[in-house]
Amino acid sequence: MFTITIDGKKIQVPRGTTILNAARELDIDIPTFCDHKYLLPFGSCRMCVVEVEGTDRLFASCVVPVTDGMEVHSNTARVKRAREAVLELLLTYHPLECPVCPQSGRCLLQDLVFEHGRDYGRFGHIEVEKRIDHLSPLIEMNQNRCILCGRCVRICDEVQAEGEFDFASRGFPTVVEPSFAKPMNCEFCGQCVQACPVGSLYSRIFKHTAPAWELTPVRTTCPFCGVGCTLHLEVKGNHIYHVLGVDDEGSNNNGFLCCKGRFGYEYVHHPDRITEPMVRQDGELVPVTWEEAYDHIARGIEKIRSQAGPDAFGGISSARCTNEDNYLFQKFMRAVVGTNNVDSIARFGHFPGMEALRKAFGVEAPTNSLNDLQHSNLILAIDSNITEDDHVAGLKVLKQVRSGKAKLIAANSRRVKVTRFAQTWMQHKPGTSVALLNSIIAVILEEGLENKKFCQSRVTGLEELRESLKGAEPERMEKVTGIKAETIREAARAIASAGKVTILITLGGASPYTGEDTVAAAANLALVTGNVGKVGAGIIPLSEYNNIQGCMDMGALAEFLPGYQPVTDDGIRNWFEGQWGVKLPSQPGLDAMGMIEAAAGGKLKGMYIMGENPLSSFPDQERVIEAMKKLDLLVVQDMFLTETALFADVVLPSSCGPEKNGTFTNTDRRVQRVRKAIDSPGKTRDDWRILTEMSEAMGYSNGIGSAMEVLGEITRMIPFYAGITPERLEKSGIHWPCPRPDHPGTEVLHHDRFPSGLGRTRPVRFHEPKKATANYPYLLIPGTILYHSGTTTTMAKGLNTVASTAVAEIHPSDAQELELETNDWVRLTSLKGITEVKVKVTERSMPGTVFVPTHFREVPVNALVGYDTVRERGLTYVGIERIERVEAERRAGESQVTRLKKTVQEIQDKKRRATEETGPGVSGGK
Amino acid sequence: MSADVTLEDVKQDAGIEEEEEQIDLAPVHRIIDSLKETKGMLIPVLQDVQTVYGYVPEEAANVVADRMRLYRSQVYGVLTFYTQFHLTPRGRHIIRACSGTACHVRGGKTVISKLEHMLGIGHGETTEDMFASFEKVACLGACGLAPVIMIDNDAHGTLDSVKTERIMDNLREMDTMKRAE
Repeated sequence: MFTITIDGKKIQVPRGTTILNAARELDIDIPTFCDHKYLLPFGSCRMCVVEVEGTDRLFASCVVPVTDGMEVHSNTARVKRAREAVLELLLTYHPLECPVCPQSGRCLLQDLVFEHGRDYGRFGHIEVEKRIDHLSPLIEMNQNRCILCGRCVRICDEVQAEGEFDFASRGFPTVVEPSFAKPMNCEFCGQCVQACPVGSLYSRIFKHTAPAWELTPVRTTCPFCGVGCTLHLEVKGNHIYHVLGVDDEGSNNNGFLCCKGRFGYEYVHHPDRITEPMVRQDGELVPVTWEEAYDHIARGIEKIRSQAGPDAFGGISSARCTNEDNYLFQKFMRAVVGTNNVDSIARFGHFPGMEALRKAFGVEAPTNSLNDLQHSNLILAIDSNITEDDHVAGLKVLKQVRSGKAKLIAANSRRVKVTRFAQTWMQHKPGTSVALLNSIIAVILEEGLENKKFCQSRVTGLEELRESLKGAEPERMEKVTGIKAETIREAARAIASAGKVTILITLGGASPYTGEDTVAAAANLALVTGNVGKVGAGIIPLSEYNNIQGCMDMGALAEFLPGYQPVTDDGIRNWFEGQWGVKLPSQPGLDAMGMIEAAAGGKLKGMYIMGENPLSSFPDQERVIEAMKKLDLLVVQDMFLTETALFADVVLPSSCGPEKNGTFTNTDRRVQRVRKAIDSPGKTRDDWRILTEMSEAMGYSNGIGSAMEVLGEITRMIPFYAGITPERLEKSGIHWPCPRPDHPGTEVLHHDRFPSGLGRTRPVRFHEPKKATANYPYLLIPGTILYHSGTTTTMAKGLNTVASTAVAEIHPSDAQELELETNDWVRLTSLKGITEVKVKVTERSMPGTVFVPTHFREVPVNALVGYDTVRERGLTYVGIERIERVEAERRAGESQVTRLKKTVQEIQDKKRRATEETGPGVSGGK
Repeated sequence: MSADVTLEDVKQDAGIEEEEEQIDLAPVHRIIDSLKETKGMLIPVLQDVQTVYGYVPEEAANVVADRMRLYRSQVYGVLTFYTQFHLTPRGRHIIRACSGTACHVRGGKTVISKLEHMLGIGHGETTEDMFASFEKVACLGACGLAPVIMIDNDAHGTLDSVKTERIMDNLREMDTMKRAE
């Protein structure tokens, strides 16, 4: 420890601390432009100069480490003169166009000029015409305002690993520029926008809309992916104008965001939001009052119940809605309707994976937090395109790997960003992750590399596993996985000897329906190597949905009451009956897929769908349409008139993330607060309120008056949420389990023991995906892309300027064979259906596969996927029979959804015309 | 169209020139393949690339960046930092005229304006027929010969307007002869 005196104040700091950081600890303000908390010291702006006693020159405090007994003066006349000179030189070139600059009001240069009180200098103002980039989407760059601090250049490299721009040229003409002055073509995370101290890089959506000082920041949680970044929605009136990432102790994203979080908020103000309840009369959806809508639903449910019993009604809850909404939804289904037919999209991918974790460790949740990645020294990313699916979590991985603290082994059939930074990239054939993991475990057991102490004291079922792995040796699996045996052996040795291994798996993404087996095999690996139950080691399944974990926690599952408490357990059910004051059904209900099948078969008569669009997100679109058509009563509660809503008898407009209070539980069990920033448009109501009023209309009062009251009930009903109070959430998210109000939350699970005592390894059989035969030579890889989240963000104008339509990826070798070029349109034909899509020829995808993003309604990937595919293990990937080019003019072969989309458009147009006639609408706008 | 007329011929007859010439990137790959270790070798690689093409085409720079695992912007930064690198095609002859102190006082300005007049281009530009590129430089290190210019690798000293004209005429003649061969 060194003792240093700054401006007369003494402090002890560790060796290596810079003068600037020591000063910050003393709350001494030293101005700086180029310094940034998460970047290496740069020392270019010379604003932070200080005087050090015993030396005759000024030091840049951001790059000079302290020495013992150092005496520093940060505010002498000489220092001030030096800083004024820096400002004077900057203002020689920096145009004073503050009135039109989007940064005005939070500009560092502006603030410091105010502080030093000089807006002109000895050199006057020299106008140098530099470039303004008018072409890049989302982000605009005005080089005239640039002060060359290099924050953007460094954040793009050090944090983002993207390196979109660098300093170009030399001397006075120096600019920050993308390669060959092209428009930006990057991840559009906007980290550079937030880092820019002046108005050189700014949001194209925000510019010229509102002055910074009129905006009120509202702290909330991002509604897109499972990371749950904390952000400030900057609001004026009833409009969101700008978004900034929040970096403090209560956030888990260090202030970083992705393009969705930063620029995707525009969907909130989309003119197609539905703003009043509608009931179908004579085949048309007609606006009605809320009471009429409730009454219609109540009578409909009553009729179904009396004719066919409560189990003829079912509900789909939402992985997008808050915990409170999900809790009330399942309560409505169970306590009011009287059925366990309640489920969610988690059934397809995420829940099965979590089930695998429960069977192994006893808890349906990721074992470690995302921040815990900073302690890992090996990261194994399986089928995980983490930088696109869960972007900010991806940044944590990149940081750990690029700083050399961890090795990265990526197993991914696609060439994505993580595979570029991986020390080992295993490009295994799609659908063979289980075989790959089994081989790794087989090597570990065969070579005796398992963690013997851990296996002995905390694991059971090892012998069974050993038995099942005969024949899984990498040499025998080489043909199956396409990975050389030696590579697998080396990876196995690295994993066994690393000490702290975190396994990342994206569920529902790259391995759509094999999630359960992959997670089970990964759990075996973690148990065998002792990589669970300690800091820096565990399994984190990742999700592209913001609240899929919360949705499951809240009991939107056919077999579980809230908190994974089985409906079949009499004791638990009795307790719930006592609390809710009603009799509850005792048999597990139909799951999501079961409900669709029952509806198509005519057994399920009615459905209530909240915040979900099965027509675009569930497999087998044709079957879903069939099911929706057969229903006597379909209630859809959503923000937009979705394809599913077109079949609805009643449509209820609900508010979206920035319009309501509540909590989300992110992909690592962190419960975080969601805050209302703006009012909902028109007659739109919050989901919790709709559900409460709906219950009342059916004669059940749940006594709820606000979203946060629901949280109160949740903490009573779910033991591992018990200590999570709204007051505690104000400051920071809390990782469940948190059983008591004084409990700090649990970032790492299973420290000393598993809830079930021992961890269980289970044999996982590898089902080879049916060979791509001559009839089905290509495999469909559905997935997500960086610029979108679900279908919601396709309602955000800005993001659509980056990615406006689905682009399928085809390997050059296949493209050559099929005589395809980038931007050709192709028709994909599977056993189940047809869809048409634009292609891009790229080496990102393996030969024999075709990657199609799932976000776009006009390219319904789920139309290609059959139900049998999902049900029948083994055929886990969808074979594509033909890929053929379609000429632009022949692209008339519309898919069902394209037609539906047109119908939606017609309805919206009609609605808009109606509102235009009756005067201005109630929805907010600029 | 008869069989022995190619598409190229038709285009030529019609006066259609390919807008973007496809650049053969094989030499770039060969340059990088020949390296044992790419670390710290960016500038030598770019120099070799420039020797092959006469300038550093964007496509080549991108290949260099991708193969050497550098950001494309980084390579662009290096290319724009050093005056030795050129991002656009250069003339067959590089003419550098000294504008340093010694040359200036001995009439360098006249030589420069003569060159600019004859070539019809200014500093940093290339004639349309790709005959020559012209640059003003700070010093050629031959102040004893002032005013001095360099044509490719040859220095020409103690110049005046007349001498410059003669040298340039010679250069043009040689260039025409060489091209005719």
